[in-house]
Amino acid sequence: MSWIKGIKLLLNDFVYKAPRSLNEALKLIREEDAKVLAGGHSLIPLMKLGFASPESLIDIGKLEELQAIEETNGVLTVGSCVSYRALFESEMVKSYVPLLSKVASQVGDPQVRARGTVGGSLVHGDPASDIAGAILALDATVELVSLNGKGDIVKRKVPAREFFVGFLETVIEDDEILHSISFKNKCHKFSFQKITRREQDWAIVGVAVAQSMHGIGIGLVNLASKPVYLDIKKYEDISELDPEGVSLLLDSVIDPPADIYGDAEYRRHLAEVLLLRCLKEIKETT
Amino acid sequence: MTELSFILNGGEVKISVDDNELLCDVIRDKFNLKALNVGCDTSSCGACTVLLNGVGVKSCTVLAQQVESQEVETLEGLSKDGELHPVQKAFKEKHGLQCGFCTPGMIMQGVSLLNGSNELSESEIRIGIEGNICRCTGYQTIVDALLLAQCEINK
Ligand SMILES: Cc1cc2nc3c(=O)[nH]c(=O)nc-3n(C[C@H](O)[C@H](O)[C@H](O)COP(=O)(O)OP(=O)(O)OC[C@H]3O[C@@H](n4cnc5c(N)ncnc54)[C@H](O)[C@@H]3O)c2cc1C
Ligand code: FES
Ligand code: FES
Repeated sequence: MSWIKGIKLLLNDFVYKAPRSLNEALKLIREEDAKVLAGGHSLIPLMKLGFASPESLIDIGKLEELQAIEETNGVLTVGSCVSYRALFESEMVKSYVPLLSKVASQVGDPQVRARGTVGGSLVHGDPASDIAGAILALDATVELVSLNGKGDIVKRKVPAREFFVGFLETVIEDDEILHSISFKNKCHKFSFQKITRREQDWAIVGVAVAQSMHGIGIGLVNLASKPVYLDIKKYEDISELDPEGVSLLLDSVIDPPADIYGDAEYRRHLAEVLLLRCLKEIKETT
Repeated sequence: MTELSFILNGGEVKISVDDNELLCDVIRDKFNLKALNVGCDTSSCGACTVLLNGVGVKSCTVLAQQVESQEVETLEGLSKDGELHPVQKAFKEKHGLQCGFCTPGMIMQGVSLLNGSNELSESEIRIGIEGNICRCTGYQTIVDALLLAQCEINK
């Protein structure tokens, strides 16, 4: 448990370990009550509040192989420990999936973007995760790694659209590490709309839309207990989508939360407005 | 206790830390560098901002051990040979502070911003200090100070 001393929030006692290889990290996370630490910008606040009290923290933030951004055979791969800042600064990302750069530039504030990582945000599974909205829209693939019985690293690929299960819950198992996210299609027609109280902040509601030669993808941020994907396959031409159609579609997948920033009805309204704005922006992109 | 070594304000330091110690506490309590303030302790206010490898981060949300072998700079490291850093001078000139609680974090974030780019507009500066809360100034004088510092640095 964390406790409060004076006005300072203290972290529970844990053992900190900084493995030198992915293999070592995968061994360490199998220990009782071990937790992966990346940028720490979700986990450390949770620990301060006493919502998490791991026995050990396995710091994967320094593993070079998880920091890589590379393109092989037309597929762009982004390592899980790439920070928002590095993501935004990457020319490769900008030329391949500029939606990701745009989203990365709007998360939290500059200090948060310097530490927070893509993988950390996805595994944390916050329904308001902006990057989650983007990878849903872009139809990305999440690559998870673990050790098999012989101690070899094995990979499991999960489509982004199957990754999020519920509130702060994803399909990742305790013995797995999110290795990277891969994007098989270039995509230059996109829109990201986010309503915040300040220029950059958590989304009250966010919508990410990406159109590639393989179709259109829509990711919804903070509109249900998890980041959700909106399927509009049955519309061949998005110009067929009128406000009424959009409204019906949204109602089939969203269950907006209510908090001090807005009630469910307000969020539902924003969702509709933002989605229409996104579709308009995409239509106007040549 | 674990031995930690890193570069603090340009010099290599070694110190024993507990695994659950935060960077802000090590800097304040073990190195007695009291410029940085802990305000919210929940990564919201930016008062604890220091530079990690030249980039502003909130030290209340970084474990001390995460900075092993890296470069950390606090407000105390900014002035060289008794001469204030251009951002410090500009805060003085433009009255970029009142109570001063947010100031060390504000200045470090300002330095981080101006390190990263050579021509920021007023609105880019405002966005760049969004992670830093000031309850006194209303921000205008802070923005003025950073604009002035930018001019001085680019001269
Ligand atoms: C002030 C503030 C403002 C913010 N604003 C926004 C915002 O506007 N939009 C937004 O989307 N987010 C926002 N965030 C959240 C931020 O995006 C996340 O904190 C961050 O991206 C999480 O990444 P991390 O590397 O810090 O994860 P950590 O805190 O290190 O880890 C988070 C969780 O994921 C697990 N984990 C991390 N990496 C891996 C991995 N590779 N494999 C397996 N498990 C892993 C950890 O065990 C932990 O459970 C904000 C955070 C703060 C503090
Ligand atoms: S004390 Fe670190 S951000 Fe407020
Ligand atoms: S000067 Fe008082 S909080 Fe900024």
